[in-house]
Amino acid sequence: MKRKDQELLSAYLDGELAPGEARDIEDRLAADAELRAASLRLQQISAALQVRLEPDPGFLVRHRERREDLSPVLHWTWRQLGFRLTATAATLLVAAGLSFWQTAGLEAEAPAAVATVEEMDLFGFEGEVLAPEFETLAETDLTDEPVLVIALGGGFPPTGAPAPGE
Amino acid sequence: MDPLRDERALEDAEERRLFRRFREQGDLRAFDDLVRRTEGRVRSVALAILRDRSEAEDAAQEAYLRAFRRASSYRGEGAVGAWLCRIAVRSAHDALRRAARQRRLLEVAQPTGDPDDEAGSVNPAEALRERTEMESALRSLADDEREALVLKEVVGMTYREISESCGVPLGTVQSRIHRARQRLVDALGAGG
Repeated sequence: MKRKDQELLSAYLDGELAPGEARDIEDRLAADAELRAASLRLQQISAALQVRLEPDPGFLVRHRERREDLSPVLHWTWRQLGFRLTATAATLLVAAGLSFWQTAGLEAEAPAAVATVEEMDLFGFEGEVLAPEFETLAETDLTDEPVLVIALGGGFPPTGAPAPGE
Repeated sequence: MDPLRDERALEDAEERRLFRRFREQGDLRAFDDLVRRTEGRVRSVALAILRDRSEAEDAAQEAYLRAFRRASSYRGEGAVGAWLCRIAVRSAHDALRRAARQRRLLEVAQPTGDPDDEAGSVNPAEALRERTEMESALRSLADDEREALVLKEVVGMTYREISESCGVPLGTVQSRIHRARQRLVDALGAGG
């Protein structure tokens, strides 16, 4: 028997042939004992393969137990994982934004503690009270004007008040 | 109008809806419902290949865990039930390979002795040898042939459904099923 005939016979037994092809095979089955024997063998194989298990309620219980043994991360679907990653990224962005805002705010306030030498003159310091470390700071400042830094937070003395060390 | 076909179409639609709820909303109850609706088919597929209920249970459980972990790998080709059955076929194939490896290891460990001398004793090598003829005949098939045959014979899928699910042409499905059957006929000598 040709291989093509066997393949058509197999498809016929599965009900997969077009009506014309099916009629052709049926005519040949009626006339060909070898084809009938082949058909019987294929049907025996199909019967031996038939397995039909009834639903088992315990299966789902056992499945849940196995599922719970998985790592919690593996319980997440991709969508859940996406939500969690987005939430984490958003939290990090907010934290970074707050940090930047605080730093920028401090820098904006910094000039309040810095005064030019001319401004100090207004307060009666007349430049002679600069401690050596303040002079160093003044020289290394990036602005063109020399500056005086009040390091210990005492603020400027009111006009006319005695200068420190007097 | 084919009532059976209509019924299956309704089943497919419901299973797809449950799977979508699980995948998009993480709804575990939807996944449980899907397991409940499909486990008979999935276990049958595994049993048809492994011919052992305990191993079939393990393979079916493994199939559901794979589906649970890799829900995104379902790209909508074919029915969800068919996709689960295909995963079960793969799990059963893996189990077959593991059993073959174990058998080789045991044969290496116990290379001598007439099997008849061991009659009455229970040892793993003997238990492993007691596989049915059908199981060893099934093992001789190529994976893609076995998959197509089981999806046809056990799940009752049409050639077109298998073609869509496996992503191969209709003619390829027909050839695979035919080759698989012919190999089984040759191996088992069915009907003499």
